[in-house]
Amino acid sequence: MFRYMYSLLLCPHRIATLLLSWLCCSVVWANQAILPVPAAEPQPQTLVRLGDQLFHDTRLSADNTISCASCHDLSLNGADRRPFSVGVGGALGHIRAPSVYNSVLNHAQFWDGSAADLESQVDGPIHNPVEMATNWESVILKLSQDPLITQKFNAHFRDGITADNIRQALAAFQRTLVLTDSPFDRWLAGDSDALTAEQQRGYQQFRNYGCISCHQGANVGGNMFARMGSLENYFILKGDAITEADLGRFNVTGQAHHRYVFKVPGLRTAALNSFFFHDSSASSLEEAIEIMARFQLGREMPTEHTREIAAFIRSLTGQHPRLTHQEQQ
Amino acid sequence: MQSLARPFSILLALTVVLLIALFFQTRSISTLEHTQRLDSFLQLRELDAQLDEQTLLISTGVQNQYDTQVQYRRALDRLLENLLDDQSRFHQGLDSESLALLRQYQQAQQDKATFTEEIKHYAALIRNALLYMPQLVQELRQEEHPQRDDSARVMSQLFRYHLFPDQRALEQLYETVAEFQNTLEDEHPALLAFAHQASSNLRHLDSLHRYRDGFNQIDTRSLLRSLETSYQRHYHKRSRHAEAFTLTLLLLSSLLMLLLGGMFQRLHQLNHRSEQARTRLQDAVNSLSEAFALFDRHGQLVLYNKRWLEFYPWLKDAETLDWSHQQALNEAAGITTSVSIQTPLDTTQNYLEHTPDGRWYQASNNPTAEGGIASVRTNITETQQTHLRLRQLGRALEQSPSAVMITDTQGIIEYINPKLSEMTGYDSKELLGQNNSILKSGEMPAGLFAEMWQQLRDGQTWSGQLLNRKKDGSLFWDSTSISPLRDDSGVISHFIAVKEDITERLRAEEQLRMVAAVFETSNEAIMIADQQGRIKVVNAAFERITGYAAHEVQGHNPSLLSSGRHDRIFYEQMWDSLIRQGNWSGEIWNRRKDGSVYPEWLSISALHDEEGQITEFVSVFSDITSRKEAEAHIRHQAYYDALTQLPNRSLLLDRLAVAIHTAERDQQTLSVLFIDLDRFKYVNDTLGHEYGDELLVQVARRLGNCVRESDTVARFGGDEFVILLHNIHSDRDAALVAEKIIRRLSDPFTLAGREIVIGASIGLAMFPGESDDPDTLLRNADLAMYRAKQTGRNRFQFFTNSLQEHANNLMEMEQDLRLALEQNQLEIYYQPLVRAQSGRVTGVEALLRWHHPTQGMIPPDQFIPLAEDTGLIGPIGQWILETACRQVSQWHQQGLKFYLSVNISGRQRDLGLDAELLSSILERTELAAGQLVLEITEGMLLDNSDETIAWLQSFCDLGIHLAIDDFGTGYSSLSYLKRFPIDTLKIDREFIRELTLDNEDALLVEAIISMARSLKLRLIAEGVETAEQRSALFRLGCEYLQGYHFSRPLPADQLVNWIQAYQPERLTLR
Repeated sequence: MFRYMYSLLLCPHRIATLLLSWLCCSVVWANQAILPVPAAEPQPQTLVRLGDQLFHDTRLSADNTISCASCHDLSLNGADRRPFSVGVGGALGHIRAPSVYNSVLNHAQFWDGSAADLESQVDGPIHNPVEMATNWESVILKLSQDPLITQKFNAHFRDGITADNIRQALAAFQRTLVLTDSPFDRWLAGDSDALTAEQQRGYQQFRNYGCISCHQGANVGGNMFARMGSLENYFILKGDAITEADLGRFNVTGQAHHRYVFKVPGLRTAALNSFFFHDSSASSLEEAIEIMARFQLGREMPTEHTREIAAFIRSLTGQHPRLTHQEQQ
Repeated sequence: MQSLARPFSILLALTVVLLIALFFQTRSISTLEHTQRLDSFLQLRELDAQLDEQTLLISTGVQNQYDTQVQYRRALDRLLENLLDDQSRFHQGLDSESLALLRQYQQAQQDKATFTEEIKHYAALIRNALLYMPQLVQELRQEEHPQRDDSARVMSQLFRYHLFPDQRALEQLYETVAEFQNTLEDEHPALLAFAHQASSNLRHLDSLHRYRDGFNQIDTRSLLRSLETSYQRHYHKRSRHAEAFTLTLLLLSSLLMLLLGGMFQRLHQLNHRSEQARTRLQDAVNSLSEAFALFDRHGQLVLYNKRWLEFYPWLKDAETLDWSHQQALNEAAGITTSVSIQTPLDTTQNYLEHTPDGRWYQASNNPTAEGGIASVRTNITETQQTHLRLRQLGRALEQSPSAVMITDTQGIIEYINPKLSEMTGYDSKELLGQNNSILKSGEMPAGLFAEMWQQLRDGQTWSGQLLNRKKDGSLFWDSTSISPLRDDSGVISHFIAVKEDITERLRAEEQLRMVAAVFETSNEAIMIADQQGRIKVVNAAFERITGYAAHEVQGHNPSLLSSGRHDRIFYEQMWDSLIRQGNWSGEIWNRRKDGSVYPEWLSISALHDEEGQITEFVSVFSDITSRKEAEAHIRHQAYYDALTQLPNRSLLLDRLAVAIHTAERDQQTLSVLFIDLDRFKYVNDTLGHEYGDELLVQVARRLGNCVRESDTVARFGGDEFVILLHNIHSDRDAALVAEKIIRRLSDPFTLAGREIVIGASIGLAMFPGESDDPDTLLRNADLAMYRAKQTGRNRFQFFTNSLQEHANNLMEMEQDLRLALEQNQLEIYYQPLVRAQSGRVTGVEALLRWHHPTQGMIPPDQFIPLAEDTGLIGPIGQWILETACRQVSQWHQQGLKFYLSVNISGRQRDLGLDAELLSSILERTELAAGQLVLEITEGMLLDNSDETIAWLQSFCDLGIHLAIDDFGTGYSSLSYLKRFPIDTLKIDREFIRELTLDNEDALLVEAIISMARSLKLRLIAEGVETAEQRSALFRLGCEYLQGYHFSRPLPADQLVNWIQAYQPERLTLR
């Protein structure tokens, strides 16, 4: 053993090769970068039920047509089937609706991270003129006219229906929306049959291409900001079609180097999506992987690798009782 | 004392407020909160250290997932947010300097977070490149690219740096990468990508270092330290203040204790004084002869004397002695009060209390100024007992049924009792103080009063009856007894009069006398029996009706009157009704003393005593023999014919129903004979109604002789009789009876000294047979009778089904006939009337034909009688007249000159055919009246009424001729004819059919002809069928002929043809 080590030390070329193989195994750079999704933290049941009801309550929109669930279909993927959601009066949204599943795992909410947590996130869609287009005063007035829901609020909060309590209820409900027990998590836990050979190869490629450097943590992303197109400028190709939404985190910090920087999306719900990226510019998982390879690595990725990575990403999707359409995906 | 209380209490309040304020001041500093704050600082420090560590690990590439960092960051942010929340205890415990430092700390943490984000980004990019580059190198190697080893070297150098960062190595790395980039041999994509990855990796590394340095420069630890120091300083200052406050608190508390001690001392003195006063009061109260108790406003017993306990001895054992408790105990002990005791008390309440052992207390409850009660009790048992006895006597007087009046010796009224007031109508106010003469009526002799006064003054009691006057002026009798009353000295002081109103009694006696008179003089028998039914009293009417004298029946049971006509059940029901309802009334047959039985209407009422027990029975009855007879008469009238005394139609129907029922049950046969007198009308018309009635009586008598006594002979109405034969053997029996009746009724009757012959037609219906209910049976017999009459008089006919069928057919035909006219089914045929000698046509007879839609041609003799019966002959006859007249008039215009003969029916008279109508028809059809002959039947003449004659005469007056049709078949005698305006006779075809010159018919015809001649009547022979007949008739002198020999009746158009073809054959007398 020692002799072998000595011989290694004697030959720098070999050392480099050893290092290479060592790194390729990603012991340091990639291992244990993806963590299993922890079980949702227990929330007060009455609060969760109230949040669930509010999540489906259209009175949270100006004309009583839109509820949270209108654009965040829990049975499907916790997000919208359409590229851009349709708000009050048929208004078209500017950015793809992110999934509410696993949103609790994100370090900030919205693509540009403009909300620190789930509670402060609620104000966004409520006031957005192309989403619910209303205000707290109107929402509280409408809810107060319903004795049943008033009673539920009074049962849990001393001050009844307030904006803050609505935020709390919705956030509590969303904290329960965690997809767990994915095949990949089971594989991580030692079930070697949980992943197919292709998926295992996909995981290998996912590391080899470096995807794992940003898409890490329990949510496989969602805990940092990164520029869309770190090697090629994705937005130059869009030309005049660049919108305010494309500016990303710049809209929050106003700093030039935050232009085109977005929160790295978690990949736990990626396999359930119909569209990808903040602008829904990709409509399949494979296409999204190809675009990522091109703009983040500057290379065309072989189709085989794309397919394998896609297979791996599908193994990331966990389970939740509300996610009833998973089998159809 | 009072003046001191207020400032003192203000002082006390102020002290307490001060104490509370101080207490909170000392509380404002809490060691627990202080510890918690220190703990928060500790947490902050720890989290900061963990975050620093994570950031360092990320920046060096050791940490490859950011969840841990995110968790710490989130924890720190949340903690800071909680600390800065101005509602939190932490926040409240900081001074402004510490707060500013805390905010500064938060800002520093935010800055650090911003740097961390950048570090995370660049670390990821670097890691990305490091992960990807080996793949590129691998690719170059696989393609055996010349620079594959160079790239591997560059890569290993890069890795080495990342594993062992070292400034010198970095500089060398920059150079190597720059050199590599400058010496690219071709533009292999993997090579280009590798070069790009390597250079940007270095660039990223550069940025990473820059942000890491920035991160490191933010000294959050020293910030936190100065925050802690600032807080500690603030805390110590607060602690010192708190100590000062605690000391002040202690001082103040001691002061307060001293104050309270002083107050307690004073209170004790006051208490002592009050106790002394109380003892004095108790002594005073105990010396009272009355029982006394004082209750405060809560009802608590404050003060009482011994006597109170003597009065209410049970109170000694009681534990609590408050007001309500005492009342409850008193009640339990059986004390009764004259009024209900008021609580709470508004004013002084006086009342009496009575103990169960007979003591009486005068009770007085007085409200005290404080709102309590002062109670005083005085024992008044002795006076009360006297008072009570007096009141009992008074009550007896008040309620006495006798009127009582007390006057003084002068007669001035001093007392009256309510009964007297009631008796006289005066109330006591009106009488008291008045002289008793106010009641005098003035009707009593003056001497009576003088005597009375005398007697009274002598000290004796006077009794007698007085007529007095009431307030309303009415008089009343009273029975009065007056006694003098002496005072202690024996002097008469008052008179007491006891009176009783006897007016009512006198009136009742009068009433009784009156009732007795009514009883005795009543026409209705009255009998009063005791509850055993023994007769007590009877009146004169009873004696008269029953024949028994009062003494004969007294003590006996009324059953001695029983006739024996009623059964046991009848009497049981009567007694039942009497006992249940108290009365009974009904009709009853009784027996007189002489043994005769009579009906009476009896009403019995039971009399009851106050307990509802029957004491007497009062029976009232009257002899209703005459009423019964009248009833029987009425019943007879309802069921019997007044004229013949035979059962009438109603009784017949009753008996028939009964007979059918019996026959059905006993399987017997019965027969109904419906008898109609022939020619009765003739008798009635010719001899008058009196003789008609006489005839009916004789017929009834003869009918009665024809049947058994058990059979029923009834008059059905008019000249119709019905006989009901019970229980016969066969229809043969019925037929024999019918024959017998016909024979007996054919015998002449003697009326008005003349012999009259009538006959009868009889219809028979049998039971059991075609019908089984009375009505149908009668109708069937009627139908059979009708048939018998049709087939010829003096006959009888059994009802058969074919009769029914015939009747049905007629009914059907009647329906059809109603439609015939409007549906043009009727047609007129014309038969020529020919002059016997010349054979020339002189006239035509219009003959009606009916083309029935299903039965074909129907001869007139079948439907004309029907038309007559139903009245359809009216419109049909009119139609014939109009149509025929128009036709003949038309022929006249065509040059065919002959008259028209039309049959009319007597019924048409009633149906509107009159001279006026005829003349209008003639006018319309433009036919001369002289060209029209109306043919009537002999039957019409039999009517022989003045109306018929006048009717026919009115036609003659128009110039119309009249002919008798079918002459010789009826009963008409020639003498009749003279009364009618007839000018033509038509000899019936019966006489012509067998006619030869030398047979009997020829004689008859000759006789008719000679008779006609003598009456100057024209003759037409009907039914001439052969040339032989024609010549015979011609020779016998008949001028006109009609018959098939010439032509049968023909429709109008055919007749014209016939006339044109006709060659008259002239006859000559040989």
